Amino acid sequence: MRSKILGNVSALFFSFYAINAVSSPPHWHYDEQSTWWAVEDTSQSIPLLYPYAECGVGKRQSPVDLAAAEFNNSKPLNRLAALYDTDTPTFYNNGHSVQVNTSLDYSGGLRIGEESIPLIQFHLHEPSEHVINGQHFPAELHFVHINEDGRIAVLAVAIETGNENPAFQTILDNTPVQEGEQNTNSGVQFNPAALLPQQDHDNLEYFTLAGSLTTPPCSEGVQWYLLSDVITISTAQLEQLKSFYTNNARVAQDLNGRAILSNQ
Amino acid sequence: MFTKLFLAALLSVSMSSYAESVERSESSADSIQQSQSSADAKQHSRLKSIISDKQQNSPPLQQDTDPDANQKPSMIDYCRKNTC
Repeated sequence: MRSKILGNVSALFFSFYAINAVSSPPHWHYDEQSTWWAVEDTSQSIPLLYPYAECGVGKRQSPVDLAAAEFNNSKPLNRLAALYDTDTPTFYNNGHSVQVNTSLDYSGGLRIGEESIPLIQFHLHEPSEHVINGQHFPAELHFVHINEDGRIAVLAVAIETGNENPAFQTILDNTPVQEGEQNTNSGVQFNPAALLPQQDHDNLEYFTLAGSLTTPPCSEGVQWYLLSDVITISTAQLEQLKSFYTNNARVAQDLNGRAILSNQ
Repeated sequence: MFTKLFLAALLSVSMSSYAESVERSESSADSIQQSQSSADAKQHSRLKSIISDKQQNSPPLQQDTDPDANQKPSMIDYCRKNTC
């Protein structure tokens, strides 16, 4: 009981720190993810010396292996609607993934029941982060939504190889090759809904669970919505994605008793 | 008879001295309370003047120190710069 309380207090403390100390985060790499928790911020002293500790001590971490979870579709869940509209976004090579930031006045977002959460950015992982029985999809797309009080909801879409995807090509063609560079003046009009599967965007079919950011500081309190349908890209597009980043996926984390709820 | 008279006199003396002591302690408590409340009032007015001085000197202080106001944009900013 005592260690549980200490764990919760330290997790809370590190989440608070992670949210506040976001101006210049220390470097991390995917090939050292088992020791993300031990990455040091040498400008700080203990316990702020370890800004990514939650990656190691957290009990609701993401991604997960969906096959290992208990599924529950008997509970009534919120209706989920992706209300995305056209934007002139910024294409960004952030040093870890291909990312697209929505403009500051973008009005599109995710409606969960009665609540709407603005879309801030979306980015790609190759291969997928969520797995089924240890098997990855070729890639995974994450739409990141954050509301004014800091609540985060991520809509995840698995990507299979198949038909070429013109919307996906727009991202590949406009993202700078140089790490850390942003393309703010593309003038490209882009609707993120073009990257969603062919299903009713006003009433999406999904699986949901509580989780975390999949990159340091691995902050928890993130609600994940995984769409049941996939989108496709061509093998040539997958290769082009790999030319930016490959193996930028965190390994599946323990479920620690979490169930996955579904509206199907 | 003499003993009864003696006891009655003793009782009346001790009762009057008890009443006197109660009266004295009540009046001293009153005076302590009065002096304390006047000290409180002085301290209160000093605090009020310090607070009003601070408010006059730094009007946006309340806005700057609101932790929520600082946190709100930071997670959004962080996720614009990083994968999340």
